[in-house]
Formats: sequence, C-alpha cells, structure tokens
Amino acid sequence: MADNFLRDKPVAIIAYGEVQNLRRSGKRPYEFAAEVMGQMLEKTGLKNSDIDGMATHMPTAEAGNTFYTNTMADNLGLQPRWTQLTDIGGCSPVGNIARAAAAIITGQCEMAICLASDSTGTTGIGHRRLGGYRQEFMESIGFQGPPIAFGLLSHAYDLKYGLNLEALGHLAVTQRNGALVNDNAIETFKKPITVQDYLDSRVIAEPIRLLDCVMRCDGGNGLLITSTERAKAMGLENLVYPTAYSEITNFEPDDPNPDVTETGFATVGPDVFAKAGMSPDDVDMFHPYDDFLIAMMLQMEQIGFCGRGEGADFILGTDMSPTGTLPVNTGGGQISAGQPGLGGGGVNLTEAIRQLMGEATGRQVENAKNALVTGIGVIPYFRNWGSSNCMILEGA
Amino acid sequence: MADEKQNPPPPVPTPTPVSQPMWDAAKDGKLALQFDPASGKAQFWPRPVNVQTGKADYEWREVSGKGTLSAWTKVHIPAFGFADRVPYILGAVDLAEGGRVVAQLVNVEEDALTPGMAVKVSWEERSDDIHVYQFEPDS
Repeated sequence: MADNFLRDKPVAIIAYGEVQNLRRSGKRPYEFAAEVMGQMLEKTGLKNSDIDGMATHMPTAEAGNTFYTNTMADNLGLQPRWTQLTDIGGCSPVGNIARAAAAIITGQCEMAICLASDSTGTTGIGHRRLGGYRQEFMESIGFQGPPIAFGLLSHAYDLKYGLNLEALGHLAVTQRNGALVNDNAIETFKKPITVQDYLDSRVIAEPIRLLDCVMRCDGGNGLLITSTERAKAMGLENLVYPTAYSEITNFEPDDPNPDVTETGFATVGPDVFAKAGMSPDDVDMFHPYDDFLIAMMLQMEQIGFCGRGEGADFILGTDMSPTGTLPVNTGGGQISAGQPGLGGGGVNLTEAIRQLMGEATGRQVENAKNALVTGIGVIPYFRNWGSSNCMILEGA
Repeated sequence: MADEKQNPPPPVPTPTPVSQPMWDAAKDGKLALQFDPASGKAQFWPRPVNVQTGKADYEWREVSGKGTLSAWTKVHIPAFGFADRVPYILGAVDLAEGGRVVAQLVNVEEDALTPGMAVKVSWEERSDDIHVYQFEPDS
C-alpha cells in the first residue's frame, strides 16, 4: 500500500473555517456549516456557486435524516456535482480530504467543501435501538458509552504494560494550556488545571476519570480544497498540502480474542510514513484525535514515536507545548476545546491547518513545515476502535 | 410509574433472526456461539456471516460457559437502565472454547478479581423469553 497519489501535491487546502464550541446552542449542524462556509467565502472571495463538490460526515444530531447531503446542500445554496457522506466517526473529517482529493484528481469536481458540524450538546445522543450488536449485546448489559469501553481498554493496558496516571494527567494539563489561548475552545474549559485536578476528577468507569474524556458540545469546522493548479491560478499562496494518507476500518476482524491494546494505527502509522518517505522523527507537530487521553498515548506507541508500553515515559520526557520538541494538539484538542459531536475529528485537523497557515495566535509553532493528523472512529464490542487514519499535511 | 421513568429498568434485548438460536439456548441455561467449522474459531456476538469466510457457513455450538477473566471495569456512572445497579462490574471473559464475551460480573467483589481467574456463566431472567448471560467465579 505504499503507492501515494498525494506525493506530488496535486491538491491544496485553500481555507479553513471553525466556529467556537458551545455547550447547548439550540442550533443544528446546518447553521454551523453555514457559518463555517461563510468564513471561508470571506477569506477566499469565492461565492457559494463556485463550489461544485461537497463532503460531509454523519452528525449525531441528524442521524435519523437519510437525506443529509441533500438537506445540507439546500441549506447552503450549493449545487454540487460530487457529494460524499462519510460515517467513520472521528476519522471522517480527515478521511474526507483524501476522498475530495480523489474526486478532484479524477475530474468529478474542481472546488470541494468539506464540512463537519454537529450539535450533540443540544440534542444529546438519543437512545436509538440499533442493530448489529449495539442494542442486543452492549446496551443490554450496561456496556454503553465510550467511557465504559475505555475503562475496559485502560485496564487491559494496565495489566499488560502498567498504566501511569501521572503521565495522562501531564497530557491533560498540556492540552488545557492550549485551550486557554484558543478562542474557539468551549468557555467551560477556559481555566487551568493541574495533574492533581486530573487525578481527583470523578471516576466514571475505573480507571477512566472525568478529565480523561471529551465533553460533547455543539460546533463545526470545515475546509475548501481544490487542485494546486487552480489554487495558484487564483493567486493564493498560503496553501496546505495533504501529502500522504492511510486509513483502515475494522482491524483484524478474524481474531476472536484480539489483544485490545493493539489498533489499526499499527498498520496506518507505518504506512503513512512509508508513503511520505518520512519517519516519526521528521514530524514537526502531532495533532492526534483525542476522545480519551489514553487514546493519544496508544497512538504515540503504535504510530511509532515510542515503543509499546513506553508511552508514559515518552509523554513525561517530551515537551509537547507549542515551543517544545513535539507540539501536540496545540489548541487544546477535543478534550479541552470540546468535541462538537461527530464533527470532533475536525477540531484536531483545523488546528493543524491553522498552524501551517501561521494563524495560531498565542500558540503559533515556529518553523513547523508539516503536521501529522489522525482520526479514530467507533468504539466497537471490546475490540478496540473501529477506524484509524493518518494524514501528513505540509505547509506552503 | 414516576419512579420507573426516572430509573428505567435494564433494556430487554430484541433478538434478530440471526441471533435467535443464542437466545433460545440461553432460555435453557446454555451458552451457544457461532463457530467456523474449518478452523474451529468461535465468534461472539452472532453475525450474519462466518467472519473467517464471509459466508453464512457458520455452525452453532453449545459451549461450557467457562472461561477466564481478561480485564474489567467498575462502572460508577451507569449506562441507560442500569442506575439501580451502580457500581457494577463489567468483565471481558475469554471463553474456554474461544471467543470473548463482555458481561456483568456477579457474586464477587472487585478486590477478589484477578486477571486470568476462572469464571462461569450464570443467567439473569430479564423477561420470560430473554435470559441474559452474566459471569461469576468458578470455584
């Protein structure tokens, strides 16, 4: 899988948009998408009629809407010739860049908008009776919701490698410091925390604490992507290029008793580096999907920043602040900026693009030429998460 | 009724045509799983295909209901319908015949749990037709 259709930078991200995360806004995903599109049209001078491709993800708040794409296009006054609805959870926003790139390269559209917005804070997650294992084998035994799944996973990690809560707390503090200088972070989280605050926070499902978890909220983000040729013809210079991508869903489905501490990142991490001709040492910034702190540590281990079981030492021995050797989720990540529902994957992604465009006021990483962004989708039946993806972004 | 609305009971799972044999066996106090006849590999939860082949060529087998505990979590903030049970313990059990089941652990305190400890299935009558598997120490 080392063939890399992005190697020669055929497409470029020309703008990003993001609204502030809100607890309960009363708004719907369409309204946030409209704000995000408005920001990007303002930045680029484009009109909505210039957009001929649209990629979205399936937001929790509209999960009953089987015509989401049509409804979104109608709300935004778009007439796309190419559409894409991606429903691999937190992998969707990063995954949509690769899908839009393929559509642009194959001539299906020229200017695509990739949107991620949700209002889970307003609508809640609902209580749907889903097929395919959820209602029958998870909800029926009280095994529902990510904190419980991550409680089990964390205990499995603890038994195998030993879990260092101090290191996770350190990560919580680093991210919170990013949220303090991020205008789009949810207001609730704009106060500093200490490692002790993390350790003292309420236990939800042992050993998962409140400050291990994201808080669902309302919000949205998005980007505009086109061919590099067209971006340059438009006179745009502050471009961000996706240069390598790797994705996997349903890791090792044939193993009836899998090691749950292993994930698809063991595949897509090395794969994305092979495609980019890079190694972990070459990464200037790391923007990992963060639904739980331990998910970040597992990614560091499996993508290859450190070995299995060495995540805690790596965290404690590495300055992950914007001035450090490996800046991580400089805007607070989702854990400290808020998780706008299933649009949450765009929080880490948008921050990476913002950094590479040099617009991360108060937390700008100097001389960062690239970023590694990731996504995680779905917590399945004690198999570890369902989808994993990695993308390398490079600045102009 | 007001109390029931505040603290709804644990949901009763609705079988599908695929999973029905498992729930039928459960009613008789037996744990049944799908197996790949060629490799002998088990799969839990029931699926519309044998994941080893992608075809519906699985077979149902009753298993001993014995296994070992691999990981667990004590839940303090309950899932929907489980408010009356908190704190409760969910454990991942690797079955003797293969396959892994997550279930509530009963008749045991958290301090008595050890990785690899022997457990066996027991049953909770959720309704007349649906008996839900649980696990307890096999001593």
